[in-house]
Amino acid sequence: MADWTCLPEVVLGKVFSYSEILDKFCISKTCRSWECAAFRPDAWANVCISGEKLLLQITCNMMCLDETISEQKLSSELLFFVQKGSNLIKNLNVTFCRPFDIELFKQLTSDCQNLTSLQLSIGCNTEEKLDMMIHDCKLTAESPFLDGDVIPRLNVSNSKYPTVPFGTSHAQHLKELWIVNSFLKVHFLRNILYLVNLTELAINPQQLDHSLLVHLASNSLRDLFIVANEKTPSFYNEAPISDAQWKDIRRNSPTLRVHCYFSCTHEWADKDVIFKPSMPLASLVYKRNVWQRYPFLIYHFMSAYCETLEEFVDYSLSEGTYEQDYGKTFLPRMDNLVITVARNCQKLKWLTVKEPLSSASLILIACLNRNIRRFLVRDDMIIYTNDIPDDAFPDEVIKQTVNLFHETPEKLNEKMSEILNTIWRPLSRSNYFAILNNKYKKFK
Amino acid sequence: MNKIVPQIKLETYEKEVFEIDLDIAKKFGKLVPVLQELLNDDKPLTIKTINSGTLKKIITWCTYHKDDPLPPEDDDNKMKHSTEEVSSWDDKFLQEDGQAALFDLISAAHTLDIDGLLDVACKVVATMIKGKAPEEIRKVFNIKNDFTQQEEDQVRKENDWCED
Repeated sequence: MADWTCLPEVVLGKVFSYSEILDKFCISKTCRSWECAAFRPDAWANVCISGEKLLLQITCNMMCLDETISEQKLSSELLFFVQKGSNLIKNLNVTFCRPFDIELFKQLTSDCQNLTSLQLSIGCNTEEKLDMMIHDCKLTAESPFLDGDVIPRLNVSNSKYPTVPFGTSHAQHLKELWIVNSFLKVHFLRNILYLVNLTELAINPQQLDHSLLVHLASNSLRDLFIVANEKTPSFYNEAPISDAQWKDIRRNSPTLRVHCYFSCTHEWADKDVIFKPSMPLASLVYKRNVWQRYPFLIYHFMSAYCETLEEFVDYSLSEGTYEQDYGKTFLPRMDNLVITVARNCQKLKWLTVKEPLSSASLILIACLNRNIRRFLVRDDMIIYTNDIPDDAFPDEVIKQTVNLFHETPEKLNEKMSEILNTIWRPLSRSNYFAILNNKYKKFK
Repeated sequence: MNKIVPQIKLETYEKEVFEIDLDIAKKFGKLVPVLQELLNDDKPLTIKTINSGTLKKIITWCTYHKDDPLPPEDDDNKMKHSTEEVSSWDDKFLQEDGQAALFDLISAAHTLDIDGLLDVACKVVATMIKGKAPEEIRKVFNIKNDFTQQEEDQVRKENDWCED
């Protein structure tokens, strides 16, 4: 019989890191070795609290609700347990299924001294709960509240709420703030100014504000995500930040990078409302068939952002309005366009193409741009031929490399891996979409 | 044309020798630094802590997951931790031979440093623990309660403060 108590502690810690708090609690009561492992920091690095049961128990303890007095014993032990482990918690993920309890929350976050991120998912009827959150705690400068707040999919565009819910006492610890589709008016964001150590901010396009950005970027902001999805309301505000202002921002904060993730079809999304030539655009993720439908856009972006662009992703997951409409045989070849992009944008690390490419073009792209780490193409779209588009003009050395190549999948994978100095292989259709879906799901 | 796939040799606890494709062996983190040596060497590497059944299962697992996309190396990993679920194939594969086999598999995955396998196996064990009371956990995993009565009382006492 296997003796589960003699597994190395590090392995046990890994197992327990996948357990919820209530399970960790039970684990710690089984035997000594499991108790030790249950309190390893790695078992607590990511903590999920979800479900009504646990919350109810802790809440009952704190509020002494009459109807659950019989569970009080358990809940007090549980609370004690949470406090024992709380300084090990780094990422806390709380799902609220019942009305938000501010006392509980204060208790939890004030115990968690080493918290670096806190994710709040609030169950149904979010408007109501946010209302409770904000009004119950009466935001003051001292509110020990929402330290490292991430509120996904929370739409409070018509909000009566005064401001992003956190207090100044915790503001200096906050590193990443995501308020996509929330607090859509710029003046709701005024307390973001307290976030002197913010490195990552994700907002909607309409929240772009020059003075806010200048302030944050001069402190520590490094990555600005401009996110819009189908839930983002459209807007007609011309030029939130002008080209001259971007130039200014860039001069003062040379390390700032802008990432645009647009999975919407609003008309401003491909116009120069947002995209000013001096913006330090590092990522462009479009949920459209950009390669096929908007080659002019690509030429435009390439010329404006060739020095900063690191990620260029066609995130159109429905693989083929085009395929369905015209049949696969008519899928246009994109070789020329992709080669030009790879040649011009030398910082490019992420590139996805789901259209057909010839194997020779792939090698040419790899030769032209060795920075590419993730070059996603579909294996059913590679055409194994030796031809390079006429006007690609590779230099002699590259031409030889391409010509030496024989047209089999193995040779291609080997050659590409060698040039890019990493393991490269084309992805199956389902893998291709799975990877994109996984990487960008938080923007949905 | 016949393709020659480079292989390495491993010998298990039962002294059975396995020939493993290089592609698969690359997944064994522990072996990566010595792979080249093993390729040139005709003598198998002996790993006494792993039995044949377990090694067979590991090879099956690695072969099945051979074409998985590489995990993203950037900061996405931390997001992945709790969200990704164990696929039904993995779940069935890991549990079909019972708990002792799963235990061996975890020890072996740890010894050979196969991250992907260790991850899913740990998740499976965590699922087995989920929702059980301490006594039930002891029963499932055949664990002896080595806390003394005194200690248990002590824990109770410590908690009294928050109970009044």
